[in-house]
Amino acid sequence: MNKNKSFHDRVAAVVAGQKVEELKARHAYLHGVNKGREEYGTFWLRSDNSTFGHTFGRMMGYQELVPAHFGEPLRANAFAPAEEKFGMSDDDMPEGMPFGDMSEKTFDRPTTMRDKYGMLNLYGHNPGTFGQSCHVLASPVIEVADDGKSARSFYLTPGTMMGMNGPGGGRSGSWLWERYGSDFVFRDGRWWWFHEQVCPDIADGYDDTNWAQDRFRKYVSGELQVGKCSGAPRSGISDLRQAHQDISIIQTVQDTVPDPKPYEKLDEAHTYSPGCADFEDIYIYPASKGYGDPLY
Amino acid sequence: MEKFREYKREFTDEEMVLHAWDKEMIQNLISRFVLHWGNGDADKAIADLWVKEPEHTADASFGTNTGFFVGIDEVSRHLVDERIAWEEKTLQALQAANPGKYDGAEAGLGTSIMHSCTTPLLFISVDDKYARYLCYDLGMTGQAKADGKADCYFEFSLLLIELVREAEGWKIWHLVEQHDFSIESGRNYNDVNTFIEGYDPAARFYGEPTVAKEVYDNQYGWEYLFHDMPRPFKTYDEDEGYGPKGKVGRKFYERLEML
Repeated sequence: MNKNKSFHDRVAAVVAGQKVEELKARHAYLHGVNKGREEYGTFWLRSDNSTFGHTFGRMMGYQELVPAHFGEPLRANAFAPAEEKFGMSDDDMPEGMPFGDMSEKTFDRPTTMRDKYGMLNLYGHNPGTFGQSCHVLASPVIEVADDGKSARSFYLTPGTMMGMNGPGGGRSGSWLWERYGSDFVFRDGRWWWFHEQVCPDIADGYDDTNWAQDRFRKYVSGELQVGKCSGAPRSGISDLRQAHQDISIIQTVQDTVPDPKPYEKLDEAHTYSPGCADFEDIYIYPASKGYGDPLY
Repeated sequence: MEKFREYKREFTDEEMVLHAWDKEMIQNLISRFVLHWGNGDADKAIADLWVKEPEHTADASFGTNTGFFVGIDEVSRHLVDERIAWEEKTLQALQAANPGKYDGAEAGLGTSIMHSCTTPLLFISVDDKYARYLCYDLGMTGQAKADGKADCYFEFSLLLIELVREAEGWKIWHLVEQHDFSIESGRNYNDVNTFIEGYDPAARFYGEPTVAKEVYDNQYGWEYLFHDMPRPFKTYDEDEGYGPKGKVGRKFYERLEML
């Protein structure tokens, strides 16, 4: 850490840390209401080195990650396999939340929203309707580069989500723990989100399983396999390598996005997206193709 | 020296330090509030952390899913009096079922409540007099029963908070708790049929508001969150604020009528 910074640069580092907190929170709520355009079109750097990583692989470049998050047509679940058109029509909409119990159950009452309400397209409503999904943010570690041009953050999320489309005829609720590694850069007078690596660790429904025991048994029996809980890499993504697998109790912790340490500048040794650290000498797509930014 | 820029504002170094400091102090204030709120020390929280100046106390408000408590005395009635009544009722039931065992116990025994403020999103107005804050409350409630059982829930809510800078510093002015859902311990949430059965255990905490109206329908979820979440703003605007006359809780057709 450079301890000889000027007063101005020290203030700038504090402001950068607060900006990271702001952008992370804005993302958490915008993601919860499925407003991909309002985040990826607003505060992401429109470059070929911008990346978004998940268990499915790594979206390489703004042109690749944008369609996945607010492309045409917009899907309720941007991470669903391409052939699943969540929200496109009522018939295509699967029951249950991504991590909920998708199995068929027998009830002596209507068992789906459609049974009760007919052709009800839940996702045809205002994004966020009939659901609450919050990847709440906790345990931040934020470092600002000595050169003041980038910042890196680590967060944990004890996320919680629910919807109105539970297989039990009512709600579905689940919790989801993830860890996030994020790079931010200062360019053209403002801060931009540059890289995101999402690392889903473990998730399950609320109070319908003993998640550790049940999962342990499924892993032992082979019903579950490490690295395949969140779905296989999907097509349309350049980098299909799976950086992070779900945690299970039959493997050790994966420190895929370790907390950032003090650093001089964003480079190969200090980034959550190897091979994509350069942000100063690269082309930036014009705002007219990236939806611009009304806030700055 | 190049000035700092944030949302079309310019700051000198000293101004930026104060701006950043304000954000940290507001975060501390909200954290203190949720701590005292959970502890059952809302009287202390109101005295220390809520507005004191008459022009603000008159319309200070606390919103729940079913209405607004308006005026600082009404806020106190909800956060303090209704809480104490619930605690006393709980204790009395325990005492009646267990003669002699809980004699002299303080109200609060047999209950447990916790709140938190995660995922904070905060903006201070351009005129530096107001702030809007959003966080997600991961909480829990527990209540012992006379039969030896207990009702226990994880509770989840959005907290939309408007603050004003008074002579003493930042104070909470308007707060809306939009309760999302309750996860009952020992019950499969997927078996909960909310539309049909109107299941909402948190309703026991909504109380009797000054102005009864539907502020948040948790069946519909975050339908209006995008429109209500904090964003850069110039100054206080009653229509845009989180008070009882603001937009929070209004349906689309009601928002149209605000023009």
